[in-house]
Amino acid sequence: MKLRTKISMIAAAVILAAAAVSDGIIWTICRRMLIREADQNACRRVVEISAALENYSSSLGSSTSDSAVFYYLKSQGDAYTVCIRNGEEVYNQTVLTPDELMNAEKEPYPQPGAERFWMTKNGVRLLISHTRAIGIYDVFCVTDTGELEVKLQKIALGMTAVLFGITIPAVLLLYVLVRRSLRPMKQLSEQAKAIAAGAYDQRAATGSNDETGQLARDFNTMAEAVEDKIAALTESEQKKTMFMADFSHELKTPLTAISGYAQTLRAVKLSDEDRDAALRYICTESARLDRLAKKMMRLLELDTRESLQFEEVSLGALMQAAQKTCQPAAEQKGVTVTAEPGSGTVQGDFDLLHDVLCNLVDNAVKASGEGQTVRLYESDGDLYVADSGCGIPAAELKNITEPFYMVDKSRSRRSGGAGLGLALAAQIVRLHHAELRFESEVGRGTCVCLHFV
Amino acid sequence: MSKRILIAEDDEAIAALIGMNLRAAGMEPVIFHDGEAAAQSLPADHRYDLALLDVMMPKKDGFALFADIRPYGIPVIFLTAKDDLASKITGLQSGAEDYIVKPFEVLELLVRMEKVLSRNQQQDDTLHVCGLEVRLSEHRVLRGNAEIPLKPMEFDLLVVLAKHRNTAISREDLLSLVWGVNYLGETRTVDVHIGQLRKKLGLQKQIVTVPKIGYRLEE
Repeated sequence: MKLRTKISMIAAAVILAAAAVSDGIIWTICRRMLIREADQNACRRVVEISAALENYSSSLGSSTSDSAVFYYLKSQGDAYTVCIRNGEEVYNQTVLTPDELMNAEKEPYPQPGAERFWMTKNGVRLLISHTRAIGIYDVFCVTDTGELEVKLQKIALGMTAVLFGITIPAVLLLYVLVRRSLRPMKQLSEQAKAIAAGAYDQRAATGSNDETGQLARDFNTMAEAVEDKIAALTESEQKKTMFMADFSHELKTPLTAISGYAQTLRAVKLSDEDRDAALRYICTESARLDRLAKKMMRLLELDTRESLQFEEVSLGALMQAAQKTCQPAAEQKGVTVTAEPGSGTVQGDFDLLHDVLCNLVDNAVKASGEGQTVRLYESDGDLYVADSGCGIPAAELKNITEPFYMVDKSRSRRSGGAGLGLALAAQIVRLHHAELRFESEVGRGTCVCLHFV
Repeated sequence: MSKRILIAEDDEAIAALIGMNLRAAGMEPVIFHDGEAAAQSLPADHRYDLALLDVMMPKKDGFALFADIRPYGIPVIFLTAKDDLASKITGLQSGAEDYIVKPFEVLELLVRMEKVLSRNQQQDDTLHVCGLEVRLSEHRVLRGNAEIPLKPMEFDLLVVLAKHRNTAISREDLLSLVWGVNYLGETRTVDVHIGQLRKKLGLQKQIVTVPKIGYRLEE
C-alpha cells in the first residue's frame, strides 16, 4: 500500500474515532439534560396540580368529595393525571392500574412530598411523578418519554451526518496534501535508482525547507560522498593496474635479456668478445632484478607497517650522513655535495630518513652535470636538497613519486634505476606525516623540500 | 649480401642481445636506443631489409616511429613487453608484419624474421655456406661446379641449418621447421638425415653436435 493511502486511511480512522467519541459524549450530555428537564417538568406539574386541587377544595369550603375532584380534573382536560384515594381510582384516563401506581418503588424529589418512578408500559417508557393532595388523595402525573427518545434519535442522526460530512472531505483534502508533500520522495526514489544504476553524478532537487528538503540535502551529501568514494576507488584500482603493468614490464625486460643471453650462450657459436659481453649482461641484468625485488619488498614492508618507532633526529647529522654516503658516486661524476647543517631536530626514524635523503641527493647528482654542486641545507625545520641540473618538466612533477615512473627512462635504466626510489621515499615520508615538495625548472635545476609538520 | 636490420630498443641489454644473434646469423644489425634517434637517421640511411621496434621507448614510441618508417617500405616487427590484446591489435592493424611479446626465444625471433623477410622481398636465391652453393628455387647443391645429389628432406634440412648458421637448433625444432609441425616422427629421423648430409657434403666438422641441444652448422 502506498504511504499516502496509508497516511490518509489512518487519518480517516483517527478523525472518525475522535469525532464519534466526542459526538457520543455530546449526545449523552444532551440526553441527560433533556431527561432532567422532563423530570423537573413532571415534578412541577404534580406539585401544581396538587396545589390547584387544594385551592379548589378550600374554595369549596366543606369537605371535598371524590366526584368534585373528578370533575375538577376532567375540567382541566388533563389526560395524563391520575387521582387515587385509598387504592380506589378517583380519576384515571390512562391504562395504568392503581395497584401498579401505588406499589411501584418510588424515589423522592428534592421538593418535600414529591416522588417519582419510571415504568415501562406496552413498550413505552413512562416517567411518573407523585404527591399527596388534601391529605387523602394520591396524585400521579404521567410523562411519556417517547417524544424524548425521538428527539434524541434525531440529534444522533444529525450528528452522524455532520460527522461524515466533515470527515470525508477532510480526508480527501489530506490525501491530496500528503500526496503533494510526498512528491519529493518519489523523485528521491528515482534519483536513488539512477545512482544505484551507476549515474553517480545525479543530484536531487532541494526545493522546500522542510523535512523532505532536508532529506534531499542529506541524500545529496550522501550521493556526493559515494561519488567521491567511487572515484577514489576507481583511481586506486587504475593505479593498481598501472602498477601491475609497470611491474611486469620491469620484470620482463631483464628476464628477457637474461634468458636470451643464456640461450644464445648455449646455442650460438660466439666470439670470445661476444661471449664476455653476454655473461656481463647476465650479471648486470640479474643484479637489476635483485634490486627490483629488494625495493619491491621494502615498499611492501613499508606499506604494511602501521607506525614507526620515532626518536629525536638531528637534521644536521642526517645531512652529513647523506653527504658521506653519496660523496663517492658524486665524485665519480664530478659533482660536489655540500651540507650546511643547522640546529633543527625532528621526530623520526634515522635510517629511513637517511634513505630518503640519500635518494634525493642521488637523484640530484644524476641530474647534475660535471662541476655542478648539490646543496643540502635546512630552513624553518625543513630539509632542502637543491641542484642546478637538468630539471623536471612541469607536467611530469605530479607523477614522479608514482612507482616505476621515470622522467628519462633510458637514462634511469642505464644507471640501474627501477623507478622505485622516489616511490619508496614518498612512502617513508608519508609514514613520518611529512611532505615532499618539488620545485623545478627545466634547465635551471630542482629543489626538493622535505617538509615536517 | 647480408641483411641490414634496424633495431630500435631502449633497453641496452636486449638491443645487444638481438644484435649479437643477428650478427651470428650473418645479418647486419643497426641499433638505436630511442625512437627519436632512429627516426632522425632514416632520411639519410634507410637501406634496411627489416625493422625491429620496441613499443615502449622514450621520446618516440614504437607506434609513432612506425609511421616514420612506413614511407620507406621497410617491413616492421614489433617487439614488446605489452602483451595485452589491444596493443597487439593496434600493432598488427597498423600494418606491422608481426608482433613478438617479451620474453621471447631467440630462435622464435629469428624464424619470424626470416618469414617476414621471405614474404617481403626477393630472398637471395642462392645461399653460400662452407664452400657450397645452395640454389633454393632449383633445389640444387653445388660444390664448385659439381652437383651433389640430395634427397628433398636432406636439402630442406641443409637450408634450415644454412639459414641459421652458427646457431644450434634442437632436434625438435628441426623436425618442426623441416618436416612441419604436424610431423609425428622421431628425433632419430633428424639424426639419420644429419648423418647423410655430413657424409654427402663432407661437412663432418662443420655440422657440430651440440650436447643436449641439437646441431649447429658452423662457418
